[in-house]
Amino acid sequence: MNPSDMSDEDILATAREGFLDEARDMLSQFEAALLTLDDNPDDNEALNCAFRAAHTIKGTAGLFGCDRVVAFTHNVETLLEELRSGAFAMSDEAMGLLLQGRDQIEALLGDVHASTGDPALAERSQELSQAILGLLGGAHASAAVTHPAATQAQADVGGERIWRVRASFGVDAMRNGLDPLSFVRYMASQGRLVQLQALLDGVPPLQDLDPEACHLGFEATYAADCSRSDIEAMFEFAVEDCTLDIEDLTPAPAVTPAGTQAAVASAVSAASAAEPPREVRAEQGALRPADQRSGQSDRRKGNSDRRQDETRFVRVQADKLDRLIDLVGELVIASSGALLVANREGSNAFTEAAQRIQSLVESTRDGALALRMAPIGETFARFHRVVRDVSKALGKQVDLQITGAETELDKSMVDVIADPLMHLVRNCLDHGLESPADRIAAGKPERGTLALHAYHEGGQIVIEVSDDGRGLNRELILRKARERGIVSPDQVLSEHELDQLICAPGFSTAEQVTDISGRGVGMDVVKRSIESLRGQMQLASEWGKGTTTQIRLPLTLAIIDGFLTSVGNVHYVLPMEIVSECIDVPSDCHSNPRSDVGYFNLRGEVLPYFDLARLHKVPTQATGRRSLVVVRDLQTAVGLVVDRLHGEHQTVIKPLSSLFSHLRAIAGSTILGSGDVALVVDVPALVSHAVEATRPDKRGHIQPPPANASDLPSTAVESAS
Amino acid sequence: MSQAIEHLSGEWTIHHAGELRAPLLDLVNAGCRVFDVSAINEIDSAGLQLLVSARNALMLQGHELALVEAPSCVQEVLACYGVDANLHPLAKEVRA
Repeated sequence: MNPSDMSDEDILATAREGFLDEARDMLSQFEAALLTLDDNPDDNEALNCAFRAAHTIKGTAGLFGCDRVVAFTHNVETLLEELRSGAFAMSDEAMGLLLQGRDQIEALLGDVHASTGDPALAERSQELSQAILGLLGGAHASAAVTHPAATQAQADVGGERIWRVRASFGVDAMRNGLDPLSFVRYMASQGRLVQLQALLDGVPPLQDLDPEACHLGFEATYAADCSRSDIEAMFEFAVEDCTLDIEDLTPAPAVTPAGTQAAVASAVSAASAAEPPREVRAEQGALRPADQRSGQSDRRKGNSDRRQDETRFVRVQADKLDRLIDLVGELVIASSGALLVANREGSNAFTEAAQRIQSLVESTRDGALALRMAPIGETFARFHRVVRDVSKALGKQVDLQITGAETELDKSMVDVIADPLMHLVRNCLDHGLESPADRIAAGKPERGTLALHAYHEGGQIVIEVSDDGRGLNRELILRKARERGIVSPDQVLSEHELDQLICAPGFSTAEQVTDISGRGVGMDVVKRSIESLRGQMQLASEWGKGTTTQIRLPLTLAIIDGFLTSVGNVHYVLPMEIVSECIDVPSDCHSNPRSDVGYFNLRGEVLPYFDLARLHKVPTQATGRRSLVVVRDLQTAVGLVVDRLHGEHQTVIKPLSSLFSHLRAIAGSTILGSGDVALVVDVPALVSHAVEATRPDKRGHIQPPPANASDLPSTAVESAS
Repeated sequence: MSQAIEHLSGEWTIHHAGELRAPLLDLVNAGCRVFDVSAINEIDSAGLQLLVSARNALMLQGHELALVEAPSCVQEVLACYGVDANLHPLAKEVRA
């Protein structure tokens, strides 16, 4: 806590990153509050929240000497203040400026590392500030930002002296009949209170409060024609119950050496940032100069309200977490190894101990993984703004519905999927949703709906972006796809497959397709980035009713519940969630001329099957009964033929080295308790591989299936599971 | 917010602070966050401190306290201390 252990530079350097993080949090609160206000202009709570956020950004930015941020944010704050006081009514223009202001603050925050600001940014600050001030009318025009004019601040102060007076009262002050308020009132009668801030952080929560003890204090910037001793005299009769800290902020050369000069400089720059005439922000003066340690620690106390909140969170470096999770992974392997040994030794006591350890390790694993999870809501929330801005620009009316915001996924994923999601949302707004007139003509409600939905399913996170717009025009898609040679003229595609065509590379670039079909802007790019995360993307659309894009992502978390099987001497792990049942290899498979791939009948449903031995050309075990594992993925269920089933297995996925990156259908490897290596099957990739391999147009000798494989269905899955 | 609004009234001064704490604590524990203070006819630092303390208790639970319908005596005290209706310090200019 004691800042004198570190130099100012150290403090600033370490704290600055925290400040930027916090400022970003504040900005998102700010934006959320503005968007609430946009829907409901009378929401005072939202207005207060926006104001507080802007104020906090300004305050902490001042603390870190980010003058450009302070100067600009001040103008935004002024606008909010006017709105709050009712002096100015919320309008579209004001809202637009506030939102642009938010973006500008963000841009300025991104630029704080640079010693001299980006001139383009400065210009934009200037423009926006003037727009804001112009909106508020000439009254505040003098507060325009740009360059601080030291002389102006001095001149405005006039012959008065400026003091920072900090009074904290003793516990017994109120019992002794002293009310801090009376001092405030007295000071106000003797001079000008430029600014007053209550010191409320000493007040304990109600359950711990002695209501007669005094925990209050205040810090004032006081302009008066008086000396230090005059101020001391005001507090004279409270001398026992009050700690007084008076500091001279008067920007005058008479007041001696270096430290004060710095105080002058900062007071001046603060004054220029704030409304120049009067408001001298004492806090800023307190931070910079090295000789004002006490002021600095005071500021820190002043922030403790917020810190109380923060103590509930601990910021941890991501790589520390990764190391922990790696270790936990090793622990899982080691403990299943121990259990294996225990079983082999046949010692009951040992087995029991090993089992106990394993269950603890599993809880540890769950806990460790949960540390890295973040709700997707933060990512979703930013789309409020996008939807608002884009729909306004396009003259469409769009409601954004968000469900499943609390669904958690790996923090690293949260960051990566933001861009593809943005693309999809924009697509919906640009092309999916119709204009109000078209919607009414189509007999739909005037306001379109864009829904973002997230949930967990089968060990994956599913994110859906859907709209109730015009849907995909499959005829046009097919025609274009044929023109472009993506689909051969005689190829028959299911509707589902047709919808996926707009994600085909080469489909997106053609402008006329975009215009006519209304879709396909860079969808291949989106699809690629989803696939690079080992996820899949699917579209479903109904003409005239809307389109849903579904993204499935693995939780990528290093550890899964797996189902261990083997073919020959190779172990394969299937994610437990997708295994729906295990049966003996049905007779259909034996009668098939090529026994490694084909179709079988599962209680009346025809499903493709695929011999895992075929995948890596592993010789199967000569003896023993083989089994068929039915796995399901999206619309498709597939049978996988394996030699042996080993049951459930805690699987720590180790990524494969880039040497193996070309391997299809393998998601990673894992080490078994016995020390053997097992391959983790990437089932969706395997399923599409299986479906492809069984496709009649590629393998003419296979009986064509009664229905298209990829449409096969959910009924089979339901009956199976 | 569909929060129930609780009414606070009377003299919120050092003389009554001792008896005001328990009922206020009950309200806070019952989850009240919005307080109609229109019936408060006198308030001093002790009264304000109680409210701030209630706010701090609420903030520990992650909530905000809000005062509504503040009469002039309450407004004056809030202005003097430079806090807003959520009892957050406000670096607002106070002019004498």
